[in-house]
Amino acid sequence: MFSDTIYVLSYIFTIYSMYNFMTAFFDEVRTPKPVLVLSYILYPVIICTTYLTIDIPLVNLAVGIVAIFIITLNYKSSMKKRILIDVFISILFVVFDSIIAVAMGYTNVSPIEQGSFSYPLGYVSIALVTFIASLISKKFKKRNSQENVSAAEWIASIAIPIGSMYIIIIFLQYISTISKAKTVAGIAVILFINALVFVLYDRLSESNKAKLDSAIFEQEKKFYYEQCLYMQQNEENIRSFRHDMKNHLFTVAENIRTGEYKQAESYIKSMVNDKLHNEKIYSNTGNIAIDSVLNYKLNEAAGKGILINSDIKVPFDIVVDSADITSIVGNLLDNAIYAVSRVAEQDREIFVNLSYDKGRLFITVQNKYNGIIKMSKGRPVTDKDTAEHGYGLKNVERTLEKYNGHIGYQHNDGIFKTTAMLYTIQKSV
Amino acid sequence: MTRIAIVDDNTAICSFIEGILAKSGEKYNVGVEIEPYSSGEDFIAALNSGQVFDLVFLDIELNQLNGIDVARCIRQSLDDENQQIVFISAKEQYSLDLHKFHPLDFLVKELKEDDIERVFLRFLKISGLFNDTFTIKSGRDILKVKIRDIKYLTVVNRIVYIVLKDNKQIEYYSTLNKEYKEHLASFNFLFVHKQYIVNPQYVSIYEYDKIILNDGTIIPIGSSRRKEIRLQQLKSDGRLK
Repeated sequence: MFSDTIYVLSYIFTIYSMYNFMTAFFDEVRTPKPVLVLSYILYPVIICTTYLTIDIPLVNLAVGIVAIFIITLNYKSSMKKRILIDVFISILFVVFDSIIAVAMGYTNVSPIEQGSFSYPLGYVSIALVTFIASLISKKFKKRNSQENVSAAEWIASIAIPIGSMYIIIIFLQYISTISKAKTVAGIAVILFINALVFVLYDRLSESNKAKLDSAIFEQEKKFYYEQCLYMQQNEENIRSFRHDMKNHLFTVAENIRTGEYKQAESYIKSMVNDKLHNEKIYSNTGNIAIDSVLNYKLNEAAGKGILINSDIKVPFDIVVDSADITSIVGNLLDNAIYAVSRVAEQDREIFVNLSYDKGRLFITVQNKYNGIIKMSKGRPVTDKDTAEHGYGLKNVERTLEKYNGHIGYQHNDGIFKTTAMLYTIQKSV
Repeated sequence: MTRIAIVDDNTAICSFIEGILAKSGEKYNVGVEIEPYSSGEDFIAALNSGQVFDLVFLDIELNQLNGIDVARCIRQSLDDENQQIVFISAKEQYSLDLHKFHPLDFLVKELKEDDIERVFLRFLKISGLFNDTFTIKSGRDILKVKIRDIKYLTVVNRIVYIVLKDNKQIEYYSTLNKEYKEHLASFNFLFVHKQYIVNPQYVSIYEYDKIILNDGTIIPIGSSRRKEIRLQQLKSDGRLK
């Protein structure tokens, strides 16, 4: 009875440790406060109930993992990350439980026998050690960590803590045959290995992200280069026009002097309509990233015979990361170009609109399409031979998330329209 | 009667815009009174003598006093935010600074008939909503409140406070839910927080978790409402269904 009470109390104390872990590994809460509080309360309740009724260590462990997972559901994160953190915290518990059990002289702890472990001092120690670990974890808090690990890499990562748990369980069955010191050392080594894996996982995620970023920067470089060429060409056109201006003006002056006003008028009209409107610069906002990606993609589309209808109105000094905006606009245009090139020739038209309003940047792309659009998870799904396109929209959504932005899709009557919005960074308040 | 001012040192452009506006006024059955000004100084003199306009087409590259200074004057004059400004410029590029004056739109010369008509329509949509009023009972008085004068509403202990543009407040017993459902939702007011409803006309900057008004007031967006408010913005102005 006493032992049970201590057990329950120590687990209630562990709520705080759990809270520390959660705030260290996750950023944002996604559920209303009462639900969050309930999950935390549920944690000791579930575990203690299991302990007080069934009390088979393996079952306790399984239930513990589930209880922790329930808490992680309250935080904004990918499922992958939740499971990973859950498993890592659980292996911590297993390690601490085992080390303390062994240190206190427990022999023959069987994972499947009821009531094999019951030691009040042990419970308190475990709670304290866990608490210290949770405080340490807070030191490793990283802001805004995004998941960039593939499924295979993730499976490899959680295999280690799960495997470790298995090893420890086997280990414990032979405590009586191995010296205490060796057992504790062995378990400590396992803990060390798991800590290393955790760190490696983190590095892996960062490295993958760096690769992704690098690919985007390469693209951006390409766009900038083309933009430079356009601007250069534009300069040349203006220069030659200015040069011709003198001659044009002489002609006009002559016409006026000799009273040939009609001639002068038509000459002037032809000048206005002619040269400077020849070069197609679709975007001239002054924001280099926006201008370069738009001009590059739209000229490419025009080259394929697609009619471009654009309305770009954005201040030159808005603050958006250039790689991000390149990625978003580039991907959306790629999709539109792809879709519209499978439509009848006379219907090939893309409509692009970029506008800024009160702290938000709106990007709208509209195009005709052929066939049926299937949605999956709120996002349009493309057919097999273009696996990259599904990836493209996923990237757009991911990038938008950085700005707490959002994208909406609308399709009817053969016209597909996407509108993305992001909150720009305010430079001075 | 909608009073419109056109401030541009190029008289040809003034008459061009005037013509389109007159046509649009007829087309949409709106009475328009148009005053052209060929310099910023003339326009400001008119403002100072008490003239008020609903819509101002303002050339940025004016000869002496530049368009930005004129815009500043407009915003500081009596009817402040209720005068809609449309900037006109010969240059395609413009700075974020212009947004400090909360313009309705920004047009680039060569001006096209379509652009002017489009802006006029936008103006109608926005201003049309705000000549409306709604009545409330405050104690023994029955008050009529103009929608266009309301900056935001807040609530403390079951008393609703309507904060007006001159920072006067009206208080009365009610709940925000009630006011939103019965009166304000139809004017596209934003129910951003369980304690705040905001008039979008007075918003200067939208962020994911807060709204900054023209006068600098910061109003938080409740965490459970952020996604909904964001979706509303995506759907605003006919962008998405």
